[in-house]
Amino acid sequence: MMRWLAEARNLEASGSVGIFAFLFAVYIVLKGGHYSLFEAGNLATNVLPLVLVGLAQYFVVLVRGVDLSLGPIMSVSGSLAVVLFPFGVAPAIAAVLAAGLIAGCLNGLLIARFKLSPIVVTLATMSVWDGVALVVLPVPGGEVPAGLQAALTSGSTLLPTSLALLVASGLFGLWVMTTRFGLQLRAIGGDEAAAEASGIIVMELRLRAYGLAGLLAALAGVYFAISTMAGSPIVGDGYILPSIGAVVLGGVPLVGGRGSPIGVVMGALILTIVGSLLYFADLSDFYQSLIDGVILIAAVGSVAVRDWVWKAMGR
Amino acid sequence: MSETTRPPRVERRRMLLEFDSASAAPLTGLVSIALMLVVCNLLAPGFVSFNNIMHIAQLAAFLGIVAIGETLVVLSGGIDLSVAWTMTGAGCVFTQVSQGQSSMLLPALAAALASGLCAGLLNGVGVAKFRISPIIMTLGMNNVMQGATLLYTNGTPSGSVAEAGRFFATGYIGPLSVLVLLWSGLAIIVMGVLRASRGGRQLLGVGENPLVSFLSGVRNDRVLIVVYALSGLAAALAGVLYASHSGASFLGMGDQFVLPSIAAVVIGGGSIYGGRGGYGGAIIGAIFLTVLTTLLAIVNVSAGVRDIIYGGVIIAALLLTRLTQGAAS
Amino acid sequence: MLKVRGIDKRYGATHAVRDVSFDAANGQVLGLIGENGAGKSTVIRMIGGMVAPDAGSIHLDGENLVLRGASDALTRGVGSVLQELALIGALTVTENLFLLHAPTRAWLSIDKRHSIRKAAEILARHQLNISPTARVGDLPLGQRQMLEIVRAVEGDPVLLVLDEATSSLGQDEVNWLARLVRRLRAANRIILFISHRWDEIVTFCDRVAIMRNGQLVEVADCAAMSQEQAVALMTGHSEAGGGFPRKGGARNGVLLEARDLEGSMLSRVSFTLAPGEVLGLGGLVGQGQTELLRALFGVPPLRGGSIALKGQALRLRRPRDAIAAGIGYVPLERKSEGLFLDKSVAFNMTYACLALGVLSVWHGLIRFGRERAIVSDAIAHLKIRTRSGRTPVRALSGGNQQKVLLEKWLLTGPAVLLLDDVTRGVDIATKHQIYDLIRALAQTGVGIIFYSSDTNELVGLADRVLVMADGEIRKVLADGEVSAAAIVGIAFRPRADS
Repeated sequence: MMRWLAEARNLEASGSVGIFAFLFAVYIVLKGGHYSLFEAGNLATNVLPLVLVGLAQYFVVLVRGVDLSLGPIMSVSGSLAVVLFPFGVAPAIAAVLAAGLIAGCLNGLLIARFKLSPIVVTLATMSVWDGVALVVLPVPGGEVPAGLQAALTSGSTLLPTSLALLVASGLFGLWVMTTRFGLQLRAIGGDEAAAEASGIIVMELRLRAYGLAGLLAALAGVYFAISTMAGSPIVGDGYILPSIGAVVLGGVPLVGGRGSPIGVVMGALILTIVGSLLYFADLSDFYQSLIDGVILIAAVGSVAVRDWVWKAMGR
Repeated sequence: MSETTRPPRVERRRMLLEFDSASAAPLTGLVSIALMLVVCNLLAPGFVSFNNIMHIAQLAAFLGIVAIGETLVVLSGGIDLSVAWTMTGAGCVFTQVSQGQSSMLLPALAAALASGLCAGLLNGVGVAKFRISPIIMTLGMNNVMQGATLLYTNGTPSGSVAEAGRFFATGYIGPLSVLVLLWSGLAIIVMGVLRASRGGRQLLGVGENPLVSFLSGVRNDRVLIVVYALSGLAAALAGVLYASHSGASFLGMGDQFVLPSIAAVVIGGGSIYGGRGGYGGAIIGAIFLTVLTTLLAIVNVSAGVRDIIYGGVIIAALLLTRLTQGAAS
Repeated sequence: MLKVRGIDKRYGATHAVRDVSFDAANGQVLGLIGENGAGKSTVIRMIGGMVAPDAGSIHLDGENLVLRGASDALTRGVGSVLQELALIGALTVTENLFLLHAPTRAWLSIDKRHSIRKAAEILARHQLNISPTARVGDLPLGQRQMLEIVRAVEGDPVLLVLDEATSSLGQDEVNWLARLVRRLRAANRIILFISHRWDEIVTFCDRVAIMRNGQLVEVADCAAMSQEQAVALMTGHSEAGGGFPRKGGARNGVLLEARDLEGSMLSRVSFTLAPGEVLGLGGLVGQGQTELLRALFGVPPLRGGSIALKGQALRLRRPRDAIAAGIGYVPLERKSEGLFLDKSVAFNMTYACLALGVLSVWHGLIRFGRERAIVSDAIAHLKIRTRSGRTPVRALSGGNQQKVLLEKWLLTGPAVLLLDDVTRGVDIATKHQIYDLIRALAQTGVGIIFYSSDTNELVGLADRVLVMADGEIRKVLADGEVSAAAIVGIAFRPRADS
């Protein structure tokens, strides 16, 4: 019984796999039963930015934090990318990723070193990055080199690049968690005082977690710009809530220390699939944000209900 | 314990411990406001006039009223990120129900305030009973209110505010703005409740240490639900007044109030973790931020640069508050 | 060679450590003993690098030790096992052992199989019967403590600090630790061993340093000191347990009656409390005494049984119900459960009676004049050392904090007062004040149930004692039967059916 309960703790991630599988099946049924690799590629293209921002949020949540500025960082990186592309693809992307890393480290410095509250800090940096995005690209537009989009989205007919990138993202998240860095992040989230007393330099690790988050958010922004062939200074605003939603739906508790990156990927997929299902339900777009909000509240609330049930069972 | 002569260093530290570090921040805020007004006057000579100050106070009133709710929620150890669309939603309800007719003003007001109260109650129940993190609950509720508002207005807010209603937001009694008078009245009530009532004390206790509060016999749940409900109510009132001020409501009008309302509380010396601070500080914070916005408008920079400076100033203020607190502990 | 010279530390008004100096040689075990609040923990925190001394110096093998945190300490060869265990419950044994330097593969991933194997080797070498893949949070407290000791030893420290390292260990495990300590001595390490039990100091240490009130009173060879001498030096009193106010005064009748209480850890607990009676809860630490007190306060609500106060049946679902009925509870941890550290003395004192109408007059408004009067009366009456009623409680010493906490509950006018180890971490003078207070309260007809980890206190203060073990009442010692020998004897007696 004890072992089963111990396993059940890992169920949260596998639960999200199950939920996605179910919703996906419903989706296919509603579509009339066929689903091609091409369509899978499209789904992957749509969901990849959210997966990346979700993973970014995941690393921050692991150390008991939250980063509301990841959306605007995404806006900045997309805008900066399309402005810099004329100077060369590789330098543009490198510069943008560096910018994301710096943005993340700024958050990390204020939060880890100066011990300011993550919510207030990231609300403030949100404003800063929104502003930077507007300065860089006052109106949506810009140029994306031809062929870049095709390369990163469809690729060959055998395996859409976007699908491969999606899998790669999941693997990346898993890999990070197998490193010493990942282990120490879990330690900090599990018991910060004990981690500190065990010799972990909490401040440095936390800063690195936020830095990584900034980097991933920047990656999300670049990909979004490429796949939509344009940059937009406000695109990230719609990713803030869903990034937290993906984390929560993936079974990662907001107090940190636990959870699998695969869960986050699943969470992003679930949110995206729900959007597609809405289309079938013939509900207007207005319902999208409402449903996103309800899903988030319900997902977290259900954890409380489940915990209550477990407590009542005498666990 | 034996009496030992205390060295001066210990004496100074004890004095600092008693000196409420939360009262240092508003002082800095006041000085900064004065400085910014001086700069404004330099850039636009004659700027600092009674009328202009009253105008600034009017603008600050919207933020100040939202900050009432935010102050209460932050004191309880939480945060309310749903003020944006609660405010917008209430504004839209107000204009749509009243449709520019003064006979419908009261029912419209009731409906608008009710929408805010509902949102707040739901927030409170989620946080108190279901133990959902305030960030998640209010962020989710913000989305819910957004969806609800979009559906209600069908994408386009309609209606307007009758003259009688606009009086409260734009009218003057002598040289004094009605809106500012209204805000002042609310401020006095809020500060009184926080300092001198049983409920205010309990709120401070819940925010500082919920366990101690619980073991002392306080119904933490009730305190939390009331506080979030009041925040929703305050945001709704601000929405009604803002719509009255402009004459109509527009989507997204509440977005500009989220960061500033929280920043006002923190800049005013309140602790984001709860239990410490008061509304007086938030008032100063609100005025500070409004003067800052005005200054930036005078300097005539682009919207993007304005955002950057705004966020930067808030970060600087946070750091300052943290560093002065650190010296006192 | 460890040389500590003149270290000093103040926390607000509390002078925790005053000018402490001592030496410890290689291959030696130095014990550090003292009462709660004597300063032992602060001294070893300074040596271990967790806290910086305000003055003085620490030298290890000739080098000045200026440590900034645990990571620094580990690099310099100082290992500490403190009372708050530094293991992360959510991670496995292996992960905890290799938190910092896990073996990795070429692409930076941790080599899990290798780690587990190495962990198993370490565990086997130290004769620890723990699975390397077990989750630390699932292990019993004793095994966790042993694991942490092993982890500290594996860091190959030159100086090892053990703070109350045997607090969760059974006899076999204590023997295991003794063998480990002997091995370290043979390897010429320095060991600092902190305990509040003399028999342990004698078992483990060569020399002992005795602390009292933040000062080092004496350093001597263990062989040259007797328990009575040590206790005398620790407490500053020549007799071990003198100075209690006179007992008696319990009236007739039944104030509180508990029948067949079933709750977290509790089973079939039944007892009565008379008005004006001081009832003690005894037994080994952690046998349900705190749980019983909290159950009488509604935390958490009982699963079965009944409680009646003054003949009226009570349904206690939360503290609020208990307070309304006239029951007050002074919690175990005053800093995290009893007081708002950053709020003023006045705020803390009046918090519990806010809802009872003692202060407020009209629709919840506070009468400040009355509050000031009540608070200054209390400060004078209880001789609380504070600048004013507006001083934050954090600035007060432990004993004065406890007095504020007590006053908070006295103001609720309880009929029954529950005290959970109320003199823990409190200086001697305040302890006696509290004893007098308890007796005076009992004289007015209030019933008092108190738990103390100090047997002498139980003997000196209680009219009757309920000795608990495993969540039930083993024996009720009536007036006249109460003695240290009786309490200890019953507490250690094995269960009748085991």
